[in-house]
Amino acid sequence: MSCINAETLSFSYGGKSVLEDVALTVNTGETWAVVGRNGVGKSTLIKCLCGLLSPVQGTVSIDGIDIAKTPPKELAKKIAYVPQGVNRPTPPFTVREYVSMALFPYGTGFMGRLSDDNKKGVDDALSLTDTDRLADRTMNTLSGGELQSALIAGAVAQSTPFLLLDEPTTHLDPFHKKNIRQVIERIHKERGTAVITVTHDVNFALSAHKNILAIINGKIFFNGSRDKFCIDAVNNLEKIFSIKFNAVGVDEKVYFCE
Amino acid sequence: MSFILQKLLILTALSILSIVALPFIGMELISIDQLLTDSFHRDIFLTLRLPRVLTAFLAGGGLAVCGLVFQSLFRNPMADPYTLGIASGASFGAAAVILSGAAGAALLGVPATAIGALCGAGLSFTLVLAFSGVITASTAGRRAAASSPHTILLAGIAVSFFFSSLLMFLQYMSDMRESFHIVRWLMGGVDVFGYKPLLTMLPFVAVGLILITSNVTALDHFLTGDDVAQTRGVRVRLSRGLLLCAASVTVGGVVSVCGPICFVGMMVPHLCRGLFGASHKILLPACLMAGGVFLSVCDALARTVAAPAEIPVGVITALLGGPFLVWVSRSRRF
Repeated sequence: MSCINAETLSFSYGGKSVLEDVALTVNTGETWAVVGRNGVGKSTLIKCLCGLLSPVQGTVSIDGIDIAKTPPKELAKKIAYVPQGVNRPTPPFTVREYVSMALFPYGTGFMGRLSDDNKKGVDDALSLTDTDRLADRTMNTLSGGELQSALIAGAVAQSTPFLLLDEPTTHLDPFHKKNIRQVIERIHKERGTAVITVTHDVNFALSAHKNILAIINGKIFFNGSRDKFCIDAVNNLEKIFSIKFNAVGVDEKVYFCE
Repeated sequence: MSFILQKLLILTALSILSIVALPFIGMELISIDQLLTDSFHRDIFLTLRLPRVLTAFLAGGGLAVCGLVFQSLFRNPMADPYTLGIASGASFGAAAVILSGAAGAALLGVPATAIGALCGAGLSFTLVLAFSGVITASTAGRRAAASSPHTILLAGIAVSFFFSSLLMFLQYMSDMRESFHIVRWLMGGVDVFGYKPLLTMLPFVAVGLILITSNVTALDHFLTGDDVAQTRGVRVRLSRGLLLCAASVTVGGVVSVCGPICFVGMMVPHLCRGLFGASHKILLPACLMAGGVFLSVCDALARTVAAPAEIPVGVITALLGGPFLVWVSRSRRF
């Protein structure tokens, strides 16, 4: 079992404080949704978690080892990151080529040779994310939903204990949204990967993740299990998003709408 | 995959064919019979035509590979040694040497203009990197992607204009003879005598190509965005710096011998992407060969179209480049 741990994390862009004193511990096997309004520091937080940004204060460590001191290739075997799908450069790689590129940290030698075991990981990632039917399409011909799945497939092929997703369902229709949710569930169930998802989609956050981290203006407002969050969900949501929410019950399921 | 390999094989055959066949073509056709029996024609073939074709091939291949590297690093179809200011820096360096009257001198067999061009290329490249923050240290809390492709491209264009105006100033200050010498150098050409220019260029191109080859997988990653590249274990800043240096050394070597030959670095990678897809493991050898074939054929045109006069090959590539830009703007591959 692995564990990622952030302590007294602070971050600022050019003097403007974005994250203040954030602490978070995620173990493999857990699913976390990071929720909050636009610009409260959700994306900044997960960029700090995977080393894309270096915090002004505090440390992020995986199994007790500071990620700032971990060589990039070793870090890439621990944690994978899926950026927001919109406005991504979509080079004319086929989906299979793109997913294969995720094996970079496992390559050895002058040109980065790979073993057959590594290569099999590509097929596994494609089938787990339901993208095998897209394997020979080029990235620039995919729809938004297909592109998002392909990006996730790449991260899955990296075979890491931790997976970070930045707003994977934004701009997606309900069909593709549900598809992404199922993919996350499969990754979690079949691989035991810890999934940390940034989202401002309340129902997606609560339905697909067992733990919630809520951020208000760079500070942690809530850090704990979904069940605990839902004891006073409507009130919590109102504080997080500064608008009133209503809980609507349909067939024993509860949905939240503004 | 096998279809792409077939195309690569055809390209290899074309490369060999152009190196073998093009030396026969020129102001005057040389027949195989003449090559074997007549010492005058053999001299022309061996000391003028063959080194010229080889120089054109190596220069074209080198420029095309550098164009490929720049385009992928900056995810921009316009990036090439010219938009990045390296060529104008080199031109300025060469012009400065010509104006100082040292053009005839040589150091360790390398002509002074070549050394001037190399220094100019190095200077402009360093300026571009410094302005865009690639080599200035990043502090905690700053965006990791401070040296974004756009910043570097903008810095390149700024530096390019700067050196172009310095060059105009030099030209204005020079007399007729020097001015003509500078203009001729700026047109670019591969009309070499003997193998010395080829040997001057070879080490630069070879070192550059080896460095680029060792980072070829990183090039694939740069196309998908710096953030994903970094989280996949690519040392983004290091790799980018290394690739930029390698490409600049190659360009410096080529430009110092052939002068600035425009558009090869922009056109060839585009054509290759269309034919060979996006993977750089294929694109790298493809661009090397296609660039070589392209420039040696252009040069064969340059020495026959207006025979007995010779047109500088840079004029031909530039003539083809204009319409090509229009075509690029209509078919986006990025």
